Amino acid sequence: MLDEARQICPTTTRRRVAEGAVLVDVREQAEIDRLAFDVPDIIRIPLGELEKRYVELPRDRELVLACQSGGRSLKATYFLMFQGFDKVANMEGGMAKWASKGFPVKGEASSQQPGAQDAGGCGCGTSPSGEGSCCGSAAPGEPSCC
Amino acid sequence: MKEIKVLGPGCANCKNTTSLIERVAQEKGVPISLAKVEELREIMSYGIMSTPGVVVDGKVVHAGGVPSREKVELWLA
Repeated sequence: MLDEARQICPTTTRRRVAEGAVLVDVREQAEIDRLAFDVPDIIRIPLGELEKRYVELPRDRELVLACQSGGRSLKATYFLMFQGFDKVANMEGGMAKWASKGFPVKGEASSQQPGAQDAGGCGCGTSPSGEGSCCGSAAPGEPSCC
Repeated sequence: MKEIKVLGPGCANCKNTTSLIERVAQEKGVPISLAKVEELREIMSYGIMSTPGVVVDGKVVHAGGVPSREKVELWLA
């Protein structure tokens, strides 16, 4: 049995990406066209293609899997763990939570998104900047996760 | 006795696969132990990306869609 997948929130994901982790978006192209993560070095592989294309992913960098709400990317995270990737994590809440925090996005729907708080928030109030706020307990080594 | 697991989140195809295996086993008089695995982590522990998946005696023999009756009969041969 695989270990439990590591799960991190968008705030921690953003920090990890700034530190060199790679965000892997497993959503379909139509979803990406509508609203895309605006982060450097992002890799896009739809979940349905992951089985054939996971070899394209670097094994020497931390990978954070993301989708729209965190469900498909959790499956992708487990698949990569099964394939022997040891530096993988799932981004909880997916694009919905990322966008609700006002983190960088681009695409057709991006003009409607900044500052929106309607999806996947912490559930414990809002943070003006959307970053660095914490609600509830954080895992060890995850000081700014909600 | 063959140990069979049907891996899937409880979708219609998963239920149909389970029913088919039960029916074929009964018709052929083959004793089986049939378990449904619905938890994602356990499903993914077999590396299954397409469900339903079928595991016979610890080996993945099928992934994605309802298997054919002929295929099930081979597993139970």
